Amino acid sequence: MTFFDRIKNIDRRIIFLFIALSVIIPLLLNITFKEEAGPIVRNIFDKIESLPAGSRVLLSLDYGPSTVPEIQPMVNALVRHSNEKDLKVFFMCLWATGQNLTTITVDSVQIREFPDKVYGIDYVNLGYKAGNEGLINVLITDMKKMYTTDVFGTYIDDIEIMKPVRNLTSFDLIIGLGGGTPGIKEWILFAGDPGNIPVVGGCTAVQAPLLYPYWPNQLLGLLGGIKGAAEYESELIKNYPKYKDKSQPGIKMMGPQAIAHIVIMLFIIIGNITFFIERSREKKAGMG
Amino acid sequence: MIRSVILILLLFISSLYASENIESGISGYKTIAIAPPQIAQIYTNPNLSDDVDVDLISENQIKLFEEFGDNLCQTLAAKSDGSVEFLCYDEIRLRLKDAKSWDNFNRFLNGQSIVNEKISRLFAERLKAKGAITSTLLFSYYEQPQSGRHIEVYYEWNLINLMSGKSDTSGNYSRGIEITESELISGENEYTCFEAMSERFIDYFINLLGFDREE
Repeated sequence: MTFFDRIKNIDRRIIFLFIALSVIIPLLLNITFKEEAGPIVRNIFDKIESLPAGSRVLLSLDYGPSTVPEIQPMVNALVRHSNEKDLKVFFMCLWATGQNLTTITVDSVQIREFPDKVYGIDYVNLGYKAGNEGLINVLITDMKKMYTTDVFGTYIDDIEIMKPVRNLTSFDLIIGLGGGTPGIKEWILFAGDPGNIPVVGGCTAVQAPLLYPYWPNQLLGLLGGIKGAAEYESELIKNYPKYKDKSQPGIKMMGPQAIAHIVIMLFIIIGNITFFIERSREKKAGMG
Repeated sequence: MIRSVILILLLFISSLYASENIESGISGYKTIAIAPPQIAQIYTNPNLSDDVDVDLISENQIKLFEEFGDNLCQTLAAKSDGSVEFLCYDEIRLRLKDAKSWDNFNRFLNGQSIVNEKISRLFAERLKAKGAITSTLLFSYYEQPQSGRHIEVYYEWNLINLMSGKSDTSGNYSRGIEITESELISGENEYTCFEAMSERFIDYFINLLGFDREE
């Protein structure tokens, strides 16, 4: 068997092995690449950066455990940035699974990294409410119609940060972070467009192409998958160097992802080369 | 070959285990308290809200609050053949003893999918119930150029395990009907739509519980 035949008939398990190694080795060696934020990511960073202290930001965590690896790095980076700018952060979710993830985010980032921020004054966790896009439709007319209490059962009117909030138009920015429906699209259609409220988002890589048509008019910016998260983290480090030593899962995950993609592309190129060689051989054999 | 057989067997066993879990999700409860649903109206066309008598709507809301939960509870209690005890509002008030506790019950469970564990355990103790059904009911009013005005009812429910405060089983149901302008103004249509939905919803719920609707 010639070298060409061996390549042509390569066992697919060898390809799986290469992919596994291309993920495992960069993870073990902590291989990372320099990230540079593109305009679609840069827009989100600039928008948050431009908001004056005390501006209200609504963070809607509309995802479940299956999309945590992609979405959570974005959430952490956005929470850090919002707090650095002294913005008022309102957590909520359109997905029931989002409530636990919101609590984890509040405990692991908001409380742990910003202990000086006070619950009810600087941030609030409103939790999950049923209704999907119907919920957004209620919130745009009256926030307190659905959110009568926060997740702890405290009456909304007793929470300082909620006092000036009437409806969604009271927010300076809506950040939708999600991997499905309801999600960013619903925030654009039922809140951003009718209420003229700036909407930005973060979603899984497979969802991003469906949302690009809304950018830049209806959607101010979008973090698409791990790449989007890594770009945002790099922008945060550039402007706030103290985060250089903090865990940056987006940047860390981009190393294995980039190398695995290169390996896949190499196999595609090899496959195409063998295909053309074989075809030319067949042609020659036919002529002979 | 042997590996395939083992794999199929494992899949079969795991699916049996999964289906058993779904069934036991609801029938594993001896006592379930029905919490009043959270109700809200949605006007996709802001002009529609002008046509609806707001006062009448809020009265309807109170009636719906009282009637729907109680109706659901009474029906479930009647069909349950005693294997599951459903606590309706009067019984809940009785067990909670005072008005403040009933207010707190509403406050912490109204439309929630997760309840603080400490609080839910407290209610479990006072109600002597392991589960509570919480729900949200949304009436959505919208207008279509071809077919006129519509109301759509969206109902979402959660069976909360009061020992953990977490949702054990959940589901949703929606139904829409076409309405005339006068019906919309009278506010009665909420009931028409709601009754039609609740009838089917109760059927669905009874099936879920494994009870036979036919007497």
